[in-house]
Order: sequence, then structure tokens, then C-alpha cells
Amino acid sequence: MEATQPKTPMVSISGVNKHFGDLHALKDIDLTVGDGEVVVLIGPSGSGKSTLCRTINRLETVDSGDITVAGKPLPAEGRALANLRADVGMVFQHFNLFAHLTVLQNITLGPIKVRRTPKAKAEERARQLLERVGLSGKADVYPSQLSGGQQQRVAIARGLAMDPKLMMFDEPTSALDPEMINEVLDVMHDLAREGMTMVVVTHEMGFARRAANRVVFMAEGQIVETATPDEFFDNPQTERAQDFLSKVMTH
Amino acid sequence: MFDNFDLMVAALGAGAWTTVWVTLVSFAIALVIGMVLVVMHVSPAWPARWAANAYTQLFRNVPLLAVLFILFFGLPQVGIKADNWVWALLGLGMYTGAFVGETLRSGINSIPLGQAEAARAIGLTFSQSLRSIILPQSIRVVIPPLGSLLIALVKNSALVLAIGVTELTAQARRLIEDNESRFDLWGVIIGVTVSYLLIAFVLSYLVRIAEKRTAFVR
Repeated sequence: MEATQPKTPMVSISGVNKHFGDLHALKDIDLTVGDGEVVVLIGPSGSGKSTLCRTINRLETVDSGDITVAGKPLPAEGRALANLRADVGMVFQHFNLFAHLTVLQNITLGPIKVRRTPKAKAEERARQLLERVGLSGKADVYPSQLSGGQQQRVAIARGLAMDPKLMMFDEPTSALDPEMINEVLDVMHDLAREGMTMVVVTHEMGFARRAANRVVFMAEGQIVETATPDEFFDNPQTERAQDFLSKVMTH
Repeated sequence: MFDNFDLMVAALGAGAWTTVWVTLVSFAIALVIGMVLVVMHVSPAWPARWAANAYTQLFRNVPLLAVLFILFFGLPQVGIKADNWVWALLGLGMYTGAFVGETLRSGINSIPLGQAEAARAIGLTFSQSLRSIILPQSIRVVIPPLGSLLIALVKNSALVLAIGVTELTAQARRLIEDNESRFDLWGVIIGVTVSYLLIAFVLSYLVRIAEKRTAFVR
């Protein structure tokens, strides 16, 4: 591993364990994500990559181990945790746009309620973000009136509206029809190029290869291999990774 | 037509008015209690959840008439005195509040978990996500069952005659038991039935309007 090792990690995870009942979902996870780095988590279903992603803003609690974001340990509960989450954008597999709010309200809610941004200013910024994700005409419609790809781009705009230090994507294209996947990946790729720190859980190997600084391969709750995309895809070191790649890259 | 028709209508009208305001005020009390209960039910603090559950079990499993008797006869014994209509409103409100709480809870449970997760992920606190995301979406779901509770309350309110509040049914009984037998039995029965139906129809209509007003595109 060469020059990508960060000086000031944005996310630092050390010795993290998590159980769901009898299932040991995360086993002694150590991982750091540098400022501006794009880390892509890949691996088979049930490998713990989504769970790991969700521990970073404490949507999942951990049984043991330490997690810091921007140098600060994750608060347990309450307003301090809310403040930390405000700094960490999150995009979900199923979009999770607020169903009773318009697209514009979805994006401005966080800035207005959490950041205390004046409404007019929040709306101006929201419209800029909508333009950036290619949805300028959709400010006043409801989520149910949009396609999956459009909803996911709104969800990205909603995350960006908080000016996050870090954006997390938990299988952002897994629930999309094939023809809508690229419109979402393009937005994410632009973000990566602009220097956003990103943690991305995905099955899109093409995206991992083009956008990632580092690929983290997980299986059965463990980090099996960490490498640059070229190293990982061209010359995987572990048998587990070779096996996984042979299955996903055949078509 | 019926004997002393004008007198009967006046008496039943007064009773109906009492039924209406007792119903509406006690329903308002029930809504407040129900909202407090549901916030406690979904609270991260277990004592709050425990207390809400205890309240709900108590008031759902004790007959309304017993609740009214406990308030009306029991509390003055320990030095808490109030007019009988106060006990009527409190009894109906506290009893119905337990059901309102359960109704609101089922409404909240009907909202996909992802909505709450997204709310937390953008940094809303527990109470902010309840207020801005979960409750507004739940309201639409719970209006029809709340409407049913309101109609049930109209009918349950007849029980307060047992603690001396002269609402619609109590008026009807007074007319039937009139010393001078001035009123026709079937006239009173029809009058009281029509009054209850009218009250229920009007309230149902208002519930339907509320349902439409809270609809959003999905």
C-alpha cells in the first residue's frame, strides 16, 4: 500500500465487533478513510459491508471497538450524535426520501431544522444542487412521482445540502432498473472527482475500478483484502477474492 | 303526532348538546393523552415505555363505568373534589386516550423504518424526526381509526349519566320516567335514536374532510 495512506483520517475504525444474535456480523474490523479518499466496500451478500457502513454514523451500534469521525469519537446518543450525523451524508439503497414532502422540502429540511439556515437561502442552495444532479425541473413534485434513478439523485442532493464532511452510499444502485444505474453513478463519480470523501458499498465493479482510491473486500464479517482498484481487480491476493471476482466478472 | 312534541325536542336537544360537547372535549383530552403515550411508547428510555404500557393496559382492561365510578366516588374520598362533569370528561378522556395511543402507535409502525433512518441520518434529533417526518405521515393513516374511536366515544358518553351528567340518554330516561307521563315512549325512542345518528353522521363527515385534507401523493 502506497501514498494513499492518509495523514488525518476522516474515519477511523479500530477493533470493531458486532453481533446480530448468534451471527458475528463484524469481526475485528480496522479501517481508516482519509480526507478526500474514496473507499469502496465490496463483497458477497451478508459479508457485513452494509453493516460496517452503517456503524460509521451509528445507525448500527457496535459491541466493541472504537470509531472516530473527523477525529472525534462517535457520541452514544442525543444531540451530539445528531450533530455528528449532520456532518455525514448518507444515501440508502431504497432512497428513503420523505414521502410527504416535495423534492425541494426533502432537500431543505435538514439545513433548515439542523443547520438553522434561513429558508430562502436553503431553497436557493437546494435548487443549485438539483441542477447539479440534473433535476432542476423537479423541485415541486413528490418522491412518488419520480423514477428510482431520479429519487436516488434527489437523495444525493439531500445529503450534499448538509455540506457533509463525508458521504456514505449504502448500495445506492441495487434497487434501480438497469437503465437508471448510470445516471446515479455519474453523479457519484463527479463527486469523487471533486474531492468528496466517500465510503461506497456497491456491487458495481466498473464504478469501483474507475472511482475508488481503495477497494476493501469483505467476506463473512472480515476485511479480507485492501488494495488499489488496479491491484485488486488485476491481481487479487486471496483465494476468497479471486473466487468472488471470478463469479461477478464472468459476464 | 307525539304528545308534547315541542317539549320533547327541547329536552332531547339540550341532552344532545351536552353529548356533543362532552364528546368533543373528552376526545381532545384523549388526543393529548394518546400523543403523550405514543411518544413514550417509541421513546428510547425504557421507564417511559413501561409507564405508557402500564397506563394502556390499565385503561383498556377496566370497564369505562368502573373508571367513572373510581373517579366520581373514589377520589372525593381521598379529598379530591370536583363537579361531576369534570369527572365525566376526565374519565372518558383517560379511557379513550389509551385507545388513541394504541391507534397512533399502529400509525407510526406503519411508516417504513427507512423514513426514520433517513431523518436520523440528516441529523434530526429523536423529537424532530417524530415531529417533522413520522407523525405527519402517520396522521393520514390514523384518521379513519381515530374517527371510529370518536364515534365510539359519542356512544360511550351515555355512561356518564351514571354519575349524574344529563346528556342525551339521561334526558331520554327523564322523559320516559316523567311523573305526569306527558311523553310517548316511542316518540322518545325515535327522537333519541335520530339524535345519535345525526351526531354520528356529522362527526363522520368531518372525519372524511380531515382525511382528504391530510392526503398527499404517494
